[in-house]
Amino acid sequence: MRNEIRELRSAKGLRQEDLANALKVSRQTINAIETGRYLPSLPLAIELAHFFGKPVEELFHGDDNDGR
Amino acid sequence: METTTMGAKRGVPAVGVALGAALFVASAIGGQPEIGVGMFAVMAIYSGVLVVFGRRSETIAILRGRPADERLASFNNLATAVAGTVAILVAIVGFLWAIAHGQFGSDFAIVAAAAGIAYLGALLWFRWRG
Repeated sequence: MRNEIRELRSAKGLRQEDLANALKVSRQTINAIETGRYLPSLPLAIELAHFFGKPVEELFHGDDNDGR
Repeated sequence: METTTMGAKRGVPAVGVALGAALFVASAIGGQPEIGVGMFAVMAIYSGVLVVFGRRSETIAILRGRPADERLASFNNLATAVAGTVAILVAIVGFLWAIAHGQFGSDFAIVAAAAGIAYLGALLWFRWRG
């Protein structure tokens, strides 16, 4: 699953550490989400959406060939 | 909004010390208090490491039962599943090894049976909870 977290964070001029502190998660977790190595829980995804002021579906995109 | 599953195991260092004390008492009852002292020391040192370094290392924080976030908590769940799988495999292989050597292998059988029952019970529980 792809996401726009890195782009949105960069647009706000934030470091991974800044976003991590805001969401009370580790910087490594933000990096793992941005690189697609970790899919956040629904509560964390909603927190990310609230943080960036966008709906969740604008942050996360299903792969085109995932068959769902 | 809470996004972690931490908090359920805050007494892990205390449990470690208590387990060390139990090991000492059991060893003393068995007539080997010196071995009990050694086992208590190991558990006390382990618990001390969890307390002292728990805030400096994410891995030790997980061992302490206080993962920093949901991703680290998921590592704990995965590692627990791996450990359980290995323990069950060891019990099954040990049971087979004991039978092949003309023994009943009841110790291994008890462990394997307990693991199997626990797995089935947990599966039913989580299925029932939906």
